[in-house]
Amino acid sequence: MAKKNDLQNQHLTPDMFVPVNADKVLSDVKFDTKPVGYLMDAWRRFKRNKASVVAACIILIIALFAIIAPLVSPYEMSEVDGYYKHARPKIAGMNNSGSGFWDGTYVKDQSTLDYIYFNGIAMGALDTDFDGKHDWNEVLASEFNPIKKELDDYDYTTQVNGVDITSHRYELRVDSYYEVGFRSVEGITPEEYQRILDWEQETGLKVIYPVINFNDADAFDSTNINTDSQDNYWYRNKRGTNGGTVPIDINGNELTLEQVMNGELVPNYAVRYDETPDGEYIVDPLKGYVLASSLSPEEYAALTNKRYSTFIEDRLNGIYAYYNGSYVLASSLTPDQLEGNTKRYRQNGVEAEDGAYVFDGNDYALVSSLSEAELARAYARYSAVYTENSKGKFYLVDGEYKTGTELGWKIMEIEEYKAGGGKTYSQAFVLDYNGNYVLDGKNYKLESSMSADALAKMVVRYNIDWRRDTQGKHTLFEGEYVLYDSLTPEQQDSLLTRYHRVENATFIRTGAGGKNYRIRVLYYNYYRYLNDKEPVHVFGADSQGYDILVRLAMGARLSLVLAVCVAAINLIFGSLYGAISGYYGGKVDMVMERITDVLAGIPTIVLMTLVRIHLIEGSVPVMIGDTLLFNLHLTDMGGIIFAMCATGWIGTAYSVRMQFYRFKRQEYILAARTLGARDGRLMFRHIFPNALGTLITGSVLVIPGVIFSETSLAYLGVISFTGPNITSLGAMLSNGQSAGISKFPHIIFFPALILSLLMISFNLFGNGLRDAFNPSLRGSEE
Amino acid sequence: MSTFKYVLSRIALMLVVFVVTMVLCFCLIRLLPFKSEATGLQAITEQRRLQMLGWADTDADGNKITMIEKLGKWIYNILFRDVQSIDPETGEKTKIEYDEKTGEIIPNPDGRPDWDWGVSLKIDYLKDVTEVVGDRMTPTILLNVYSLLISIPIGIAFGIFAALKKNKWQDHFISTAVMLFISVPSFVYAFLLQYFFAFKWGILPAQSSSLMDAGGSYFSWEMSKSLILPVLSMSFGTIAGLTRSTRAELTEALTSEYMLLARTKGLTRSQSIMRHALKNAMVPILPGIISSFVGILSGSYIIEQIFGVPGVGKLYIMSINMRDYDLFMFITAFYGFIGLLSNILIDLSYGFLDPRVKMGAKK
Repeated sequence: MAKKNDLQNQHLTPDMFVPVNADKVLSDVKFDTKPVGYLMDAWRRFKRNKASVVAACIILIIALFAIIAPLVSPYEMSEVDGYYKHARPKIAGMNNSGSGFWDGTYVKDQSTLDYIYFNGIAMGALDTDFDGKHDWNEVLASEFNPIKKELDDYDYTTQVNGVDITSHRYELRVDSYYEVGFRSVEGITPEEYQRILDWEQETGLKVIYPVINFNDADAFDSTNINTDSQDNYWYRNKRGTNGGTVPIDINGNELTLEQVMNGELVPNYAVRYDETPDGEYIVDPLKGYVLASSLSPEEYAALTNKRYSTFIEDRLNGIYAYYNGSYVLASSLTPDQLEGNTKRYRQNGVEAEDGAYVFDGNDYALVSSLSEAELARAYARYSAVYTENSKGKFYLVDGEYKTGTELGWKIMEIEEYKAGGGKTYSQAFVLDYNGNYVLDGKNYKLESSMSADALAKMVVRYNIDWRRDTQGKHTLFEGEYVLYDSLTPEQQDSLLTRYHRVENATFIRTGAGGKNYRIRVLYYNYYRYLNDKEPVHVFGADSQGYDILVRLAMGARLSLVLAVCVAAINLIFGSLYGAISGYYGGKVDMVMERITDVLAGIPTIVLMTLVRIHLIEGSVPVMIGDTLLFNLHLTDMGGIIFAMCATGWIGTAYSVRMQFYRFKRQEYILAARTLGARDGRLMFRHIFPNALGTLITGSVLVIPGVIFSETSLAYLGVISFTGPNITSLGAMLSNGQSAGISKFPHIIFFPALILSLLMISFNLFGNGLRDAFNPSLRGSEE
Repeated sequence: MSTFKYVLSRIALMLVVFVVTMVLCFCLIRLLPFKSEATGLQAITEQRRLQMLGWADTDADGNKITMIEKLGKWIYNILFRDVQSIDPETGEKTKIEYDEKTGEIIPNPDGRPDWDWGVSLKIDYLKDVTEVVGDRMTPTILLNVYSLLISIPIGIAFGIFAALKKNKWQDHFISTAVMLFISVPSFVYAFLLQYFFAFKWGILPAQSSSLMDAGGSYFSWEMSKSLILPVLSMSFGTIAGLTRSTRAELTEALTSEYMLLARTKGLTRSQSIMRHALKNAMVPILPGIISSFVGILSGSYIIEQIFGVPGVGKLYIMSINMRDYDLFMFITAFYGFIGLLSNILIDLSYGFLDPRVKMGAKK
């Protein structure tokens, strides 16, 4: 306006103007430059905005990551390994560097006992000959040592009841993958077992290690050990006086760290009673397999953890008794020779010249000197199943001790059976006139009265391969007990190889009939065997053991697809709605505005919950009159999109409406209308393109909004994309939060990082677009 | 149209929108099935109680109750039912009483209609919903007030500083930080704060303390200390937003011609900024601040969840998840009303703050 007035004020007259180039025709001359279109113009402006270009690149990179990472990663989305849950981020190349940078380690402040525990894992892994002896430096340098670096060790003093207690503590960088150490694996078939052995041969990596004897309370104290890590306590241990689990020597004395460094840990591997036609062999950590009958009682006690062992039983040859420095077959001794022995060593009831003795917890006491109660306690404590005193043998039947005669039994044989792990159960089969009785854990029951299943369970529980009755020794052969002597020598041999592998002591039979094995594996190598790759989670593993990287990529993919879908639907519907409302104005606008007002008042969370319950988890029949058209049912994704779009378009509609208000009264519209353009053409050919810039910007800015609401709603548990094959950024954040950010910050860090990057980039990108499309708005909201 | 008439018409429209929204919300929440864990005899008593409350789908004879009947009963209860006993001497409301055997409400009519919004059945058994919400209001208001007290001065100060140092490194730094804090969701920096301050360095508690631990007062040092982290997490976004708008408005004001005039008159730069630019720049910002004061009553679901603050936000989510129908409706109505009211207030405040703006005027 101002310029026009200026011109008028100067009183210009037509003769003051001379046409330029009046003699030339310019209409044929081409423009030197091409005309610049609206989009091109915007693109040029956009390019100049460095921050937005960078943001666009980041979005592109995240999108590429979401597409490519699952294809490239060695992990599948649904792949889960419970032992590596919470594993720290690790890059394969950083393995064992001890640098602390992206190498799967974390810093732990530990006591000396934990220090021994961690080094113990490495020692156990190195211990391929199972003697527990190693060079300490070798242990420290072992790949399997979870301690990758000792950062610091210091003396720490606390006051307990006014007394200063100083303990030595270590600040260690511990590898979360090697930390797992040893684990038990159940249900390994013999074939699988063989395959593992073959794999070990092939690769030179050791997977299978000897099973630990958990049953011996003197060598394994489970008080402070949780079942997850119990397979790492391969050495004899007990509960320390100040808590914790302390390694001990063969006599039960606590070992110091120096002693451990000198290799004095004593292995507590399950002693297997392996029998050959020569007799029973047991595992000596120092010498390997030794014939039980060649040992002295002390040696035998040390190896088997049985304190009193005058008699040892060899299931093939019979009972051995200790006589003159060695074990001799009891049947080869004279009654006198045997008598002397018996009187000296007997665990429960000891008979001497002056009467029966019983072990009352501290010493042997004369039975006659004890009160009834003391006697009962002594018996109850040491002989749950049967007790023996001068009056004879007593059996626990229905909670009471009775003699066989009282019970009307004809006692044939009582045998001790060793279950897996070497613990001795006074497993007895007693015969009476009614038939064979078996012990079902507490009481004797008629074998014939028990169901086959119950019997099988019992057999499994006590691992009974052998039993003896009046006819002689029976053995389990092809599922049935048969007389051992009735078998051919070949069959006998096959039994021996089948049930008693002498060459290793590395599995325990489990399952019905002992068909499957329980083995103890070095989990890192077992993982290599199972998956043909090393466990390396670049972004770590979450609280279930899923790989975060792959799931993050899939989650980002889902969140992006969701956001783009919602943005697109909102754009289309919102534009239509806003266009009509803005173009027609008046009463139409008034009504339509009130509709959006009302819709905007509906809480998203209620809508989400409704959609989840009625459309995702259930279905709604769509009827016309009485005829059922179809059942409306949506998938997780569809439902969430539906719920988000239900009110999400309002923003778009609002801005389109404003644009229409701005443009509908402009003169070019009037011109078009005069030329006969209809409403539709005016709306979508003439006005709408003007609103396009704002709309595109708005739609781009909707994307971070949708991602944000998805994460918040997932975080609040209103929607959940959780399962082996589905996840979203929100679900991962919520998982990270519940895993505990104090202990496992990495689980929440990576999803939060990607989320923040996405939000920042989309906002920057959107602002860049806005500036490019609407230069007049530049800087107004920076 | 006079301002008075404009306000009247706005209020009338607001009421219409409010009522329709409430009806819609009512229908939607009642579409969510009631979750019952009761079995056997308990279930029968519960069913009776639901019928008394107007929550059940069928009446005592097994006839279906339509949504319209439920809605009618709800509205009737709010406007006309008088079930609360009011102590004539102290004027205090007491809990609604139920007959132990029949589960029926014992009416105690005092002849006056109360605004009876119903009772909570799940979260706070048989407690008046207004009380349930009231109990959790204090922590929410505290959080919001602390957060506003921190963010408003800091946000405005940063904004002014950035505008004065426009296009210098200070401005770039602040603008980048603002960009970051506006984009990153508040729960992300809630996690960061919690991780570093609470877990790594152990300076501040990770969770807000309960009223018991804090010595029975919301203003004790224990309580304030435990609220620092949630308040900080809530403030960052507000500070960033305020900084951004203050900077934008002030830059615009600084480049306008009246500033040039002020300088030509002989005012120093700081004088002209203080007297002219700042005042004008504040005009569009103040309504926002006013509306955030209206918003102090509403809770932030996520922040409350992360820091375990027993506030209204958490209550709202719980009321939906546990299907505490009346409680949900009360919260929705309460905040819906406040939201709509604050919209009107903001629009009006433009007129009060800037005489040039006349609300509702035609073009």
